[in-house]
Amino acid sequence: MPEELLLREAKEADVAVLARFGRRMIEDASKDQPYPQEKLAAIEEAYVPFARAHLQDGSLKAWVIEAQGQIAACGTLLILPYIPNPIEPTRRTARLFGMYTLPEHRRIGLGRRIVEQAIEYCKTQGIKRIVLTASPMGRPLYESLGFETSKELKLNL
Amino acid sequence: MKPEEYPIREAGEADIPVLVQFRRRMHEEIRLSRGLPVVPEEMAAMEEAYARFARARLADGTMKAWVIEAQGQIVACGALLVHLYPPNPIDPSGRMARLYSMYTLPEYRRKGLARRIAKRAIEHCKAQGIKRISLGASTAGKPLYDSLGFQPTSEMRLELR
Repeated sequence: MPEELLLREAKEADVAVLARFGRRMIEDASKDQPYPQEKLAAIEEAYVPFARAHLQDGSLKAWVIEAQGQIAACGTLLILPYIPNPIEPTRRTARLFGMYTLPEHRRIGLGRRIVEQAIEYCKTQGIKRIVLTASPMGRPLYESLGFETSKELKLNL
Repeated sequence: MKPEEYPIREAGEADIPVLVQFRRRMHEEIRLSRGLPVVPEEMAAMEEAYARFARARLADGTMKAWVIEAQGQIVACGALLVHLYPPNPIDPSGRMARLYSMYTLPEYRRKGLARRIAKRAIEHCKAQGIKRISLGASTAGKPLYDSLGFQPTSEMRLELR
């Protein structure tokens, strides 16, 4: 990574930036059928207490990369106790989300650095599975890191 | 009594041994159907962990389970886990539900029991304002979930082994 870039764990003071970047990520991913601005504002607003509470209780871990002292990219893990299965009776799953890089800092591997950091973290914590919802733009990155398509089903009510 | 009249009820702590036993059977059948070995020690460890998990989560309300009885015996079950989820356009509330451990005894299949349980779980989510339900379907279960409106996702996963 070039010297002027700094990868670090996000702190409570970064929550507003994580929320703003999360909103931009959703905007970028839904360009074809944009959500109303009020809806995006509601998500940004809801994200702040969500992230603050779960940074504190340890179920949320986020990383940012700073370029010239400004946050240029971020990504977040949500770590959950999960339903025991035969392979892993006491199981935790991490969900990677909120991956966003400012447009002017793309194509230089910042997203990759963050995912690699998240994978390392999971390994040190004994977390055996990372899941995510991939946008078409993000999919090649995740595939190159070994992520595979899963057969999850979802029902929106 | 017709199968559609078999009583359905919410499971309580006293039902945990049956929920555990049915979860084991489900995993055994799925593994056999995929040509994978069933390791008794793994199944026993899962049973023990799941009994603890279910006891804690039925008590704190993050898990709900339903059972259907025939002649006073549980013949089908299913469970729902409400867990954290990133705030998103479908639901900014920061939670979602997972439907899991759906199992019907072989001799009671093809009578719509699992469908009744899944519908009950969906009603519960609606009543609680939960906007999204996920699941991992077995080959045997997929047609049921398709017919209830479950859709494929762009989920990916990485196993760290």
